[in-house]
Order: sequence, then C-alpha cells, then structure tokens
Amino acid sequence: MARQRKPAQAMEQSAEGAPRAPVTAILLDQGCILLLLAAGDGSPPASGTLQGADGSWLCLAWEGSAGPAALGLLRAGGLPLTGLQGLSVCPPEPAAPWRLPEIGRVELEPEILVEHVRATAGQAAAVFNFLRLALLEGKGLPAPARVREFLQRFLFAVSHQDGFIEILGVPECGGLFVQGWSQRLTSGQRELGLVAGGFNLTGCILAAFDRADLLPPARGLVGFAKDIREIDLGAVRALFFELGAELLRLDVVGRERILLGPPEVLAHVGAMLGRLQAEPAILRGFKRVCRPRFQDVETVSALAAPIRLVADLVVAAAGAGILVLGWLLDPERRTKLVLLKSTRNFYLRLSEHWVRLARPDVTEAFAAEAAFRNLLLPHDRYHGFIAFAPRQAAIEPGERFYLELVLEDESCAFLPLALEQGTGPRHLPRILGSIDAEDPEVERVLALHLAPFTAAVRASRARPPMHGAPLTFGRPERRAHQVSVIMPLAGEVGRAEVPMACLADDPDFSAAEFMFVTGRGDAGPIARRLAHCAEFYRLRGRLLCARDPLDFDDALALGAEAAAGELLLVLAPSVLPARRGWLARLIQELERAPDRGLVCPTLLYEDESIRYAGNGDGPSPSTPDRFAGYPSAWLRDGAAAASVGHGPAECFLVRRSLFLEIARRPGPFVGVELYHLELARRLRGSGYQCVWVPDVQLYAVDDQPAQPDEHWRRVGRLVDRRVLEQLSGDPVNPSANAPGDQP
Amino acid sequence: MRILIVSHGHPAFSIGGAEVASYNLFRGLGRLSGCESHYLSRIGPPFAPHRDTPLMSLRQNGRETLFWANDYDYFLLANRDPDGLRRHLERFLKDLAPDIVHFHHVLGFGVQSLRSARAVLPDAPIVLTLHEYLSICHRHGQMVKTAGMQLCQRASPGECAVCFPEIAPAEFLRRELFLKSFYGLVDAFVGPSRFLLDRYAAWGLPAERLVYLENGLELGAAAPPRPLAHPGARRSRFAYFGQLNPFKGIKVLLEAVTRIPAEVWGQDSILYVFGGNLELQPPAFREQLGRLMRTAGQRVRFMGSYKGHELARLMREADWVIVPSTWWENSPVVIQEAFFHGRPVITSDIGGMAEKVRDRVDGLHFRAGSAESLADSLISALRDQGLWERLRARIRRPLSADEAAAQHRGLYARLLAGRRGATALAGDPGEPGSAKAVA
Repeated sequence: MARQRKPAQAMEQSAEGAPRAPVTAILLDQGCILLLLAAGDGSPPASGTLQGADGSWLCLAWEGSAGPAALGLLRAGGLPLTGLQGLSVCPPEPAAPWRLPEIGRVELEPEILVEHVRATAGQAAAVFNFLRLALLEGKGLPAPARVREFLQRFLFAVSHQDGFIEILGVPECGGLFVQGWSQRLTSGQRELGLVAGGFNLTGCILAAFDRADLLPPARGLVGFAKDIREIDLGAVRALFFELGAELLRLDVVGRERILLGPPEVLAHVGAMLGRLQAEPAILRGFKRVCRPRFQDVETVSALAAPIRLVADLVVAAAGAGILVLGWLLDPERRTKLVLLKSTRNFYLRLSEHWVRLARPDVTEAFAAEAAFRNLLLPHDRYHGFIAFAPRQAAIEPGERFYLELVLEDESCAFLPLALEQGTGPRHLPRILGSIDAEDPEVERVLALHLAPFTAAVRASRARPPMHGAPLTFGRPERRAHQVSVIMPLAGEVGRAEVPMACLADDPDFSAAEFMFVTGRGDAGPIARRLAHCAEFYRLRGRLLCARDPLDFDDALALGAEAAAGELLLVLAPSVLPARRGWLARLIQELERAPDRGLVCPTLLYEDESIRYAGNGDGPSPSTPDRFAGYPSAWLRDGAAAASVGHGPAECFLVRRSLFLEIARRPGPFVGVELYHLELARRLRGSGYQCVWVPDVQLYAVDDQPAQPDEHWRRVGRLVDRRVLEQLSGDPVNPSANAPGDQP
Repeated sequence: MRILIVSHGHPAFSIGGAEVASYNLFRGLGRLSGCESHYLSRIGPPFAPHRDTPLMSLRQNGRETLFWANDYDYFLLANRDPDGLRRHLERFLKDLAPDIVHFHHVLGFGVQSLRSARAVLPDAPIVLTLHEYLSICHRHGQMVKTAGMQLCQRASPGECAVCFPEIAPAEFLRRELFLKSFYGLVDAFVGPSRFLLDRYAAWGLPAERLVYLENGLELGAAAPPRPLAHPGARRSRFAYFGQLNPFKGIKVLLEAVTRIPAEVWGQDSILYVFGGNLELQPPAFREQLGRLMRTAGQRVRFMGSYKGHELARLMREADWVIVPSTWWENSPVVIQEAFFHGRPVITSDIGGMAEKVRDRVDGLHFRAGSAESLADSLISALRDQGLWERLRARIRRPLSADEAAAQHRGLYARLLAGRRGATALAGDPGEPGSAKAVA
C-alpha cells in the first residue's frame, strides 16, 4: 500500500545537482500544469512560489511501490511552458529553492495521470482530494469547464464501480434522495461526490436494507443529502464515496432509473423506514425526509397525541426581530422541538430559545377535556412561552411564518402564524401585561426577549403628527425669543397654571415663548382655559396638539421642533419655582463652555427633602440620585456648578439645535421614568456634559396619578431598566442558559 | 462624634414611650459638646412616600430624616423590602457616615436594618435599645399569655405555640434564630430596666453586651403639689395616665375604686383617667370598661387623651399616679414623669414597675392584677395622713435628657475605644498570643 509523505522529504535520496530526467506535464488550462514526478526529481516543497516569475506551486507526494512519487500543480499564467526552464520553487519556510525539472512531454488527457497514480501506487482518493481542493475550492473562482471535465474523467477512471443508483428524488424539505445498491458501502454519514452536469461534494447519510435480489455482500442502500439545492435529477450520472484510500462509484442506471417528485419521495421513504438498518441518528435523518411540509394549514390539532399549541401574539419589530407569545400544552412531554420558520427560509429553534411562563388558565381550561384528563397536575402551570427571535432582514412580501412542532418520533405538525407589526399602541400593554414580574425567570424574559423587542419597537415608532395648527396666545414678541419653555401637559390645566403664575412676574421669562404640548384627546378640555390663563398672566406662546396621546419623549420632541427659541427650557408642570431670577443663572452656566450640553437646577420635594442634587455617576437605573430624600440641609451653601452624570427630566435647559439632534430618534423606553438617563447617555455620546447648578433650587412634586399604575406599565419599567443597561453596556447576565442557535 | 439615632416613629407623628425616649436622646446628644446627633425615623401611612425614594424630611429639622416603610412582617419583625433597605437606607448611612448607629427599635424598618448598618459601616458600633420584650414574645412583646392574661415567665417554641396554636413551634424557633442572627451584629443592648435586661439575658443575649441606661426626660418646670382646700385636707386625687388597653390594668383600677368603702372614699376622692385609643380596643373590652365606669359613677372622671405638653398642667390636679399594668412593663415613662413632678406612684409589684418604684419608699406596690390588693393600697393612701409627704420626700429626681445623653455618650466612647482596639488587633500582623496568631 502506498504511503503518503511530506513532499520535501519524498525524494531526498535523489542527489541534488545530479542529472534529472525530463518529466511529463499535463496542461490543464492556460498556465495551469500538472507535473508527474518520480524518484530522481529531488525534494519538491509542498507549496511555494516561483523564483523570478509570477506563479505558485502545490505538491502532493507519496511513497510508492517503486520509490517516492509526487504530483505537482504549477500555476504560472503569464509564462509559456518553455519559459519554465531553469526556474525554481521557493518554499515558504527557510529552505533551499527547488529547481523545476525539465519538461519532456506535454499531455492533455487525464488517463496519463491515472496511469502515473497506478504506476506509483498512489492513493486515488488522496490524489483526487488534492486536485479538488487545489482546483475547485482553492481559487475562489469557478474552475474552467476544461478543468472540471478533467477532474470528472479522472474520477470516473480511478474509482471502482461498486453498485448502482436506481431511484432519485427531491423531498419536500429539499436535498436529494437516492436509492440503489452497493457492494461495500454501509450505513453512516459520509461525504458524497455527485456528478450531475458539474461536480458537487456534500454530506450525506446512508442506510442499508436487505434485498432478496442481491447476493451478499451487496445490499440495498438509500441516501439523503440535505444540502443539495436545485438539482436536475436527470443529469445525475454517478455518486462517489471515499472508502479508505479508494473511491467507490455508484452509477445511475440508464433509462431504467426512477425519478420521484416530492410527494412520491414522502410516500416512498415513509414506506421504506421500517426496512432501513442504521444508527438511530441516521434513521432520524430519514424520518425527517418524510416529514410533511408546511402547506399554510394548521395541523397541530390533528395530532393524535395530547398536544395543543397556540400563538397568542406574534409581533414583528422592524429591523430587530419577531416576538412570539403563546403556549404549548404537552403533558406527556412528547415534543422534541418547536421551530419558528418562514416560507423564505427563516429558521429558529424556538424551544431552545424561549422562556416558559406560567399559564394556570391553560391548565384550568384543559383539565376537564377528555384528551388531557388525568394528565394535568394543578401545579403544572408552565405552558406559556415567550421568545424574541432576532432578525434584521425585512419581512419579504408574501413571506409567511409558522411554528413547526417536531415530536420525539420525528413526526411534525404546523401552526400558521398571523404576524402583526409591533408599532401599534395595543401591543405593548398586551405583551407586558402577560408577564408575571414575580416569576423566577423574569430577568431572562426581560433581558433576552422583552428588552430587545420593546427597545426596537419604541425606537422605530413614528412621532405622533400634529393635529391642526397650534393655538397661539399672547401678543407676538417683537424680539426674537431666546428661550422657549416646553411644558408637556396631560389633561389638567390647573397644574400648568401654578408655574405660569410663578413665572409671570419673573423678568427672566418676559421674553420667553411658552410651548404647551399635549395630545388631542387631552387638549379639548384645557385649550380654552389655558389660553385664558396665558393671556391673564401676560405670557406668550402656543398650545401644540398631537393627533395621538403623547408621552413625555414625544411631547418634548414636538415642542422642540415647533419652538422658536435658541434655548429650550423643559419644565414639567410638577416643577414649581419659588423664586425669580433663576433662568438667567442656568443660561449663564450653559454658556460658560461649549461642551455644556444641559444644565439643571436642584429639585426639592414638597417636604423640602432632596429630589435631585446632582449625580456623579453615569446614567444608571440602579443608582438612586445623590442625596435623594435627605433633608435639604445636606446641601452645602455656595457650592459651584458641577458636571454630573445626568440631569432630571422635569427641568433642564438645553440648546435647541443640540436637542433636535440628539432627540431626533425616539427613545427606546416603554415609560418615561428613564428618559433623562437616555438623554444624558446620548449627550455624552455626542461629547457634551450635563451640569448641575446647586444654587438654583426649585420644587418638583410627585403628582398623584389619576389611577394606579396598570400592571403592564410596572413591567414596562422593569423592561426599561434592562434596555438602559444594555444600551449603556452594563453587564447583564440573567442566566447562563442563553439561547443557542440563532437564525 | 456623629451619632445616628434610629427610631420606629417620630414623636411629631406618632406618640409613644420609645419614640419620645429616642427623640429626647437625640436632642440631648445634640446639646452635648463634641456630639453631632441625627435622627432617622420610620414613617408610613397615612403619609405618602415620594415616588423615587422612601427617604423624606416632612419639613423637620435638617438633622431629622424619615424613612417610609410599610411592608413589614410582624412575626419576624422583618422588612419585606430588603431592596429598599439596600438601595436607600444603606445609601443614607454611607453618606452620613455616623460613628455610632443607635437603634431604638427595629419595628417598621425591620430587623435587617441592623445588617444594613453593619454592611455599610463596618467599624461603627451598633447600639440597640430594648423597649419591651418583642424579640422574645410574639404577643406584642408583653410576655402575657393569651389564655387568661397570665404572666409569662419564659419563652420557648413549644410554650409560644400554646399561646398561638395556629403557629407551629418550628416557626417560633425560626423566628428566634432569625432575630438572633441580626442581634449578633449589635455591640451593645441598652435597657432602661434591669428586669428587662435579665429577661433578655435569659433569652440568650450575651450578658456582657447588656447595658443598663435609663431614658431621660425633656420636661419643663415640675408641677407644684396640688393646693389643698384647707389644712388637714386629704391627698385624695388619683390619676391614671396612659393607653386604655387590656394590658394597662385599667379594669383592675376601676374595680378597686368601686370596692373602697364609701366612708373611706368620701366626697373628696377622685380618680382621673387620662387615656386614649379606647376606640381601637376589642368591643368586649370596651363594653367591660363602660360597665365598670358606670359602676364607679362619680368616683371616676374620664378625661380623654392628652398631649405631652399638657402633662404638667394635668399633674397639678393629682396627688398620686397609679400604674396598674398587668404586664411586666419596662421603664414606664409615666413613672419617671410622676416622679419628676413629685407624685408618689401606686403600681403593680412586677417587672419594671416594681424596679422603678420602691415600695413604701417613694410609692406603694400592690399585687399585680388584684383589685383587692390595689384597693388596700388606695385605702392606705387615703387613711395614712402623712404617707404622701413621706413618700414624696424620698422620690429621686429622674434623669434629664441631657444627663441621659451624657451617659450614652460614655457608652459610645467605650464602644468606639473597644472597636478601635479590635481593629488594631485585627491589623496586628500576629504577635505571639494575639487573637490573630491563635487563629
């Protein structure tokens, strides 16, 4: 048996410098030559470059029965054959150059190579793999037709015919199914070489079966190559398999071959399954072949097993992924896998990615149903699931999504999904409302599923458009407004009147423009009264109404867009100034340095404890503000303005141009509580700092909400914290059990 | 020396003996040179918390801060929101950085607050003043059995479960171990009565960490003796100050008054009852009390509740103060107040009351829970003409808040010196024979 050797050692017994016999060359293509080397050709390196010319060298050497032998592949596109005379190959490692032998004869046909391999006892499989890797896969470009044909002919010539393929088919799941017989091939997983017009190499599973019409050791054989795409069955001539040092060939029988369509393959493989002999893993692979394909029809309810699968909500977040919320009732644990798939090849092993949620209602609803009676335990509640499947690609027109339920016996069923776009206002309450904040898995739900989903949904939402023209009040100011005061309102005008009254006599606000911003639904009852108040207090400004309800983020963006002032003072109605002259102080500090992006005052609660007094750290939802709740006596008199991690959302001064830039994109949060932290994060990212002005002190009270927070908003706050942590790069490690496969 | 006094309530919003004692100490310490005192008290409903922090000031003094907490486990004396303690109490402790943290209760804050203090201030001594037997006894810390109001001498899981059949003995063991896991962090337990300290020593607190220190009083001028209508008139006005609940012995007192013969009681004797919170008591108790009041008739005058600043004026009308509690008590403030105003005290012969009032020296003892025995004492008070003067003459003036603060400062200094010594020892590289070398 021939023994493969390292090329540099292959012919070391040949004395360098001794006269060398001319060798045979096979011209494959323009500038691509095979050199058939034997004893006396020195020690050709395994790889190298031509010395003194543009060209590369690869070499396979072996120990033949009559001494060392080798096959060299020379690529020197710019040189004629005669130009190779006297050139040497330089190996990559420091070693002496190897002089190319003189070419005595030039051939074109592969039979010369076959003869060389046989004469030197070379291994056909090794030589073929060398040529395949070098010629078909090494250059990154499709090999010329001449080269491919050469290889195919070489393959046919060196391989041993071991059997035949009699049936070929393409299953519904794609790939290639074949059936025939073989003398020596056995069950297992192998590399398959396929000649069908061109040459393909792919993985393949094989299983044997007994046939009465064959004499041992021949046996029936079926194979399935799942990665074959768009094959012309009629063009398939032969299949090749490597067995030890040999190449085995199964020729496709001529016109007697049977070509099967997808339904026939399904039926045929299904019928064959009971006869196949192979490892369980291989058999499972063939079971997959005869799985039905998704036909846009729900088939889960037709399963004989006690299994129900429901998707309550499937929502797409543009450019981010798809959130699936549903439940799987499977008390006998027969489900092996649940896949999220689309008709455009989107694929995710959902059940390896999801978090199970308690759904006692499912237990309760099915406890009395005949199929589930005595199978459901009252404490077995974790039937629900939530999963966010990342997917940046846009959803294609006509693309349909479905769940594929794969059972332990490899049978499967389908559930078509109704995909909704996640920007609707009704989705978040429904999704967040279904989460139990006390669930032990809630951190994983938040970090892996809800945070990326909600952040994407919120950040991609469109700002609510204006409804009609703004309501203008007060006499127009002749001077240009330096400051626009933006006050978001949610309903009650009484809360706005108090700061209006407090600011009415403050000279700092005499030329200010007041921008009250609200949603149309809230505007109706307050517009007239607000206008009267503004006129009464001699204030100038506008009431902006959005078509939809506004959150804080949108309200500020809308106000900033419409404002005329060079500076914006954000002033929530909960902020109550007790003194005058503080705006000028804030402006003074803002203008002190160009990198000051935001300045803010000290805020006190109604009991004169501290609400906001600077924060040395960066944006973080987990750290309470400095001195929050302490008596105001904790504040040092005369403290200078200081750079801080973030300002409060309720009151800050910012340049309008900067604010428009950083607040252009909607925030990623469900609620408003972390707005100020995201604002600070964006400011920092743009190279600006937040500055706290301790000596400006305003009250900022907690307005009692009209109704207690709904459950989904409380969950939304938890989600928002996770979103900010992820945006800020804080470590989030809810569980080591992170999802595995990604689509 | 910066001292933080932590109390379960602020007397501006919640009157009680422990609240007053802790606040008096805070103020007394604040007046001592070299001391900077701060006061942190728990607050709860009906006050509303801020949205983002349980800390608040409610416009109190700049050194007085409140902590809103309302998620409390009364069995384990535990805060059900340890995250709130970690995020806010520990932040406050860290920022204030007191040299001493002195808890006057863990109610409301939860016993875990001791661990918060130790976590943030590893070198600051922690002091805990024990105001009743709450750690030992689940029945409001009174060590009175649920059946028949019998006095309890000793707590154990099995005996406690007899009082509370719905709670398994194992739960009482859990409770005890849970509490003691935190008490191990305390450097000194202060008790204003030796009786109470003995009870806690028997419960298992280390005797070397139990310190007797009396509470101090913040009072103005003492009330003069009640002017008598004529020479030879009797000292026949009795007064009861306190809550009207089943443990305070008001029923015993009313029964005793009705048992005194008319010729002894005479026309000049009166029992004034200054007390409130009757509306919060069980209906059966209220009904019994009403019946007794009707029986006592003109002998008793129910005066309703009172505020602390009214005490001196009310005391002017009284000759004797009666403290008839049927539970052990600790160091009732009313006894200190009575002595401050020079009023002899007639009291039950048990616990902290028997310790604070010396029988026939500055007051009279009667058998706890016995209306007959109390009636005998009242008859002695009415018949023995010189008794009131003799007892009054031997009354010792109670500690003022400043004096109590000075005593506490001495304790703090000793604890700090001890801590420094311990720290120095821990920093010792290990001389032969040192704790570290042995370890």
